[in-house]
Amino acid sequence: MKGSDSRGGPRRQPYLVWSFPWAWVWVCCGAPSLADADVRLLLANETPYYRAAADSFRHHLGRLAPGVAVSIHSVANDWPAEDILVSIGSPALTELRARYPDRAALHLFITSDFWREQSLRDPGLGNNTAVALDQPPQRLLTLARLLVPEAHTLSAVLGPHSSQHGAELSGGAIALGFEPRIGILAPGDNPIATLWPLISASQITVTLPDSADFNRAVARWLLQLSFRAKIPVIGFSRAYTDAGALASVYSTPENIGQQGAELVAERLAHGPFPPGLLPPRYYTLATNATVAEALGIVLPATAALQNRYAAALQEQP
Amino acid sequence: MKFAAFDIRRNLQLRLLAIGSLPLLLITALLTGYSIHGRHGDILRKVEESGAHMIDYLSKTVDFALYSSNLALLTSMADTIAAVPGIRGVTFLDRQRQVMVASADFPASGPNLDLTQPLGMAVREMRDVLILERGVYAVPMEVDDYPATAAGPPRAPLGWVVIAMDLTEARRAQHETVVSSIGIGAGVLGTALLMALVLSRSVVTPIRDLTNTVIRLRQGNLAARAQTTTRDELAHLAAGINHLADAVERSQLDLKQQVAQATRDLSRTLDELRTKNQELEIAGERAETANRAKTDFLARMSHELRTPLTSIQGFVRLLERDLQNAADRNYCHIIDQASVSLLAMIDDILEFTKLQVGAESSRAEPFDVLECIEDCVRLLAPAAHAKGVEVYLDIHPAVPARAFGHARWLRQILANLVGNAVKFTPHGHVLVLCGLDPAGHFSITVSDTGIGIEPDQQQQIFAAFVQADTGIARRFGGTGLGLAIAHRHVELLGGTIELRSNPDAGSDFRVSLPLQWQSAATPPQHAGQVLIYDTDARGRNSARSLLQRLFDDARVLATFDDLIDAMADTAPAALVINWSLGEPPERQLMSLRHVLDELRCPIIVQLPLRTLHEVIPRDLIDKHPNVHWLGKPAGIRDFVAALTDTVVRSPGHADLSGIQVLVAEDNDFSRLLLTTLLERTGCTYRATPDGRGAIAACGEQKFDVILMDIHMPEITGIGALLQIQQPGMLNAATPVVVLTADQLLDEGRELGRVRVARVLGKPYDERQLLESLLQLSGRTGAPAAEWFGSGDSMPKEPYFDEIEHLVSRTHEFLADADLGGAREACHQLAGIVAVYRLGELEKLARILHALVRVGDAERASAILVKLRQENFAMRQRTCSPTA
Repeated sequence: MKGSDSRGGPRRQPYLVWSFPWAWVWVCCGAPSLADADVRLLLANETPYYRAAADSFRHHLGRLAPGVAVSIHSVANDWPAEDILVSIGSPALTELRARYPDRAALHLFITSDFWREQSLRDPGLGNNTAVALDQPPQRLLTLARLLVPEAHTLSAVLGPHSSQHGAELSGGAIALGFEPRIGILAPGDNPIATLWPLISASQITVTLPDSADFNRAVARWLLQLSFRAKIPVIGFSRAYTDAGALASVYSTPENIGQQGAELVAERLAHGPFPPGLLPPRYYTLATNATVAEALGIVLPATAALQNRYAAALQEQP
Repeated sequence: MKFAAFDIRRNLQLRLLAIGSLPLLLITALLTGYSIHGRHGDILRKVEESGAHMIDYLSKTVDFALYSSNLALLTSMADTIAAVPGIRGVTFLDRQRQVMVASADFPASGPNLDLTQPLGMAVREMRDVLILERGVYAVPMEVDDYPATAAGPPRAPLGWVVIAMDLTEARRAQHETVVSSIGIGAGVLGTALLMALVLSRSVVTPIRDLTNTVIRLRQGNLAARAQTTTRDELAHLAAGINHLADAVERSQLDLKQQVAQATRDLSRTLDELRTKNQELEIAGERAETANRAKTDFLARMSHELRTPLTSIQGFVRLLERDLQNAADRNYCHIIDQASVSLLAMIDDILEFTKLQVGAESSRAEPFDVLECIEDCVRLLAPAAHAKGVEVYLDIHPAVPARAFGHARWLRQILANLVGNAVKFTPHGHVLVLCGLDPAGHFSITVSDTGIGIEPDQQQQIFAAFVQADTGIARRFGGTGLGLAIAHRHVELLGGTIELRSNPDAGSDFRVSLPLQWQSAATPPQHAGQVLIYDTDARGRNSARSLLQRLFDDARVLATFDDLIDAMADTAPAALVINWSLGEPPERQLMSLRHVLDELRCPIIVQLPLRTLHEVIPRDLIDKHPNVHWLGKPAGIRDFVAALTDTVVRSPGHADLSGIQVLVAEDNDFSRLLLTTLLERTGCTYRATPDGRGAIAACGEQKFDVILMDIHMPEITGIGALLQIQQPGMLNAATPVVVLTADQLLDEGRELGRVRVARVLGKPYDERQLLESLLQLSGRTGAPAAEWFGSGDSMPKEPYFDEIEHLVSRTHEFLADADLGGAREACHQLAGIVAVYRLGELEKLARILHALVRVGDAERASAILVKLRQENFAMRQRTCSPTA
């Protein structure tokens, strides 16, 4: 998780930037009342990243709220009302909601698109709390600015789902001094025809997550064209960095699990979860030294990049 | 032959080569083929794999260019790819499978390559290119760390990339593969064949050596040995063969030595045998010479004995005719009887001699059994009747009438047995009983009431010259050869003879002979009943046995009263009255008169001839001319003739009239004598001087009897008979009487070649000759007295002239050393001089005959001189007016 491997692969450097302040607040405000409630953790399946998130959740909750029983389930049962229900993964959310449509639960490891779609179907979902996997666009833009300070033009291609962040992206880009060139790629469009003009006319490209199919379909062309154009790409996942993006900001399962544990701890201490979709509190940065070298971009050292990124984020409103 | 070396069935090396190389050839061929095929496939597969790799790479790399329709990029890529060795060209197709970019050498689309039609994953091979095609898909790139959904299958292709792999090199490689594989295979095969050849030769060569060794051994070269150069099984085999050859060689050497020794022994033995054979030949010649000498001596002696006797007989008979004094005539009769007895003894001795030397020969032929027995018994019956001894002949009705065998021997057996019985029975009877024993053999029992034989003498009774005792010889005379002769004849016939006798109680001689019976015509059966009157039981049985062959019913009557009663009760078909010697003649005569006067049926009286002549009154015979008087014992022919109303004259009057006789005699005088005799008998004759004439005469007419001389010129009597008696000839079955002066071994053998009824030796007895004619012609009765007496009526001069003529001819033949001609002349001379039995003359003729036969010409010439002198003297004595 920390540092890069000897093969020069992307570095994964988890930074618990937000962890200490919140922990401190929690401690200062007094230890929550570790109620008698158990925490029921429902996993969608035994996918490794779900398990990793669950383990991180338990670890951190055990640290934050010792004595709170955390049980991990694969199937939802009749749990007492006082139990705190936590789902990990979108299938677990669906199951939990089907079983406990009236109970507020905490949902982890879901995308904003999924939350949105579920919210349309399940109005009661609004009482629940979820932590999104998606990074706010600002984080991507901040990383882009940090790594390519000289870039003026920033391009992005949004899909059907990510297009809703277009305004935010555009505004954030402008706020950071970019000239945004945002394209919308509809299903059936020739992505190259859409991407190339944008990429070739910009100095950096950021990507926002959309549907998995869209991401797959676009990523190839985007990376290829950006490579042709010698344009760095800021991705939204480690995979993007591995695929050829210059850098990525994303949340790991550990990040998600930790945030979930803190929310539960807060819940136990202060009451119900804050409803709605919460942005991921913790993030991880990854860079691709090979791409940086190919693009002639000098990447700062890992620690320095972390600090500078964190500082950059703090400076933003 | 030249192909034999290549005949695998005959060539072991070829077989080994085949065993070693054929599988290898097969395997090599298979492997080479498999290798070629595999390598061809590999080459093609490599090309295909290379093309697949290339096109897979292209399909994954050209997506951007195709998707972006970057023709320049596509062209660049196409040119780059086309420049890769092994790739003829590449073509990029859009989604509609239209060619976007094609390299220069890519095969043009046409009938064999329609790019508008997808190939899919298939590979199309076209001449020297291999076409591969892949769809170009936009391969999604997973950039989500936690994808919600898995990547689905690629959608529609962005286009296609088609490459043409150049197969030229592949083809060349394939060709090289073929060549190299074949070359390697051929090399391997050749090497293997060579190794197989070498190995097979290493196996076959020793085997051939062994085979050659065995062949040489088989061809006799026992010194041949097998050479061994190996230490394997063949070496053991060679050693074994050598050991065997050693053993065989040693064995053969031993065998040769043994053979040589045996050969030497055999040679010695052969030499000894040769010497012994020579000695035996000499001894045999000596024995033969001695035998011939003995035979000749006996014959000469018989003739020497017979000749004086015949002279005695002749002169005695002459004297008897001329003498007036009855006492003198009686003396002459006694002398005649004595000479007859002596002649009989000489005949016995001669007969016995023939048997001893094996000269006795007889030919089996069909004969009448009844006639043979009846004739023999009837001839001897008068002598018995003269002594008052009755003779019974009882032949069982079951005995067949004809048989195939030796009639003469049977006749001689009977003559000896019955003759002895008659001789040695002073009173009583002699019974001859004939029948069939259980084995079907002919059984003859001659029983008498004679003097019998002592038990201690019965063992030797069949030995020659043995009589019961010396007293018998004195009382009854005889040579003692009769039973020996009979015994020998029984042996020759394959039969047995037994004797049962008690002194003074008579004797029974039983003979069993295995005769071959033949079917014969049965005599005519007469219906009705025949009465048989005989006071003697044996007589009744004998008559009944005979008459049962002729009548359905034969009734015997023992007493006169029974006869009278029978005549009153029945009407018999015939009456047979037997005169019994045991009954008083007067009584029988009176009974006979009564019967003859009263009965009106055929009557036959059977009685001794002596009784007929001396007892039966003439008036009784004349009063009853239809009564048949038969000499006892009468035969079946006599009864048949009597019952068929044949007029029987006085038994003394026989009749030869109507009989046709052929006389074959080369000597004119003898022929004249015979014809004169036949004229007196009233028979008809035809005379011929030689065998050729006899054959011609027999071919022209049927004769009743043939009188044949043996020794005739050109064709002898035997030769003539051989032709006359051929099957189908006119006179093939005519009875033959042979007249011959020689009764020795050679002539007996010759006579065995033809069928002869009688053999009469010269000088022949007229009575015997006439009786033979009567018997052979089926006439009954005895020769008439007037038939005899040829002496006074014959002129003597021609007789002596004929003798002189024959003496001269004999002398001429001897002078010319012609012994054959001399023998013929002497033979005729002997016959002539025997006619009148003139003592010395006959004797000299016989001696001359014997000397000429043995080839003693010198002594024969001396005898001729004496003979001529005696002939002249005899002529003077008998033909001069004062004689």
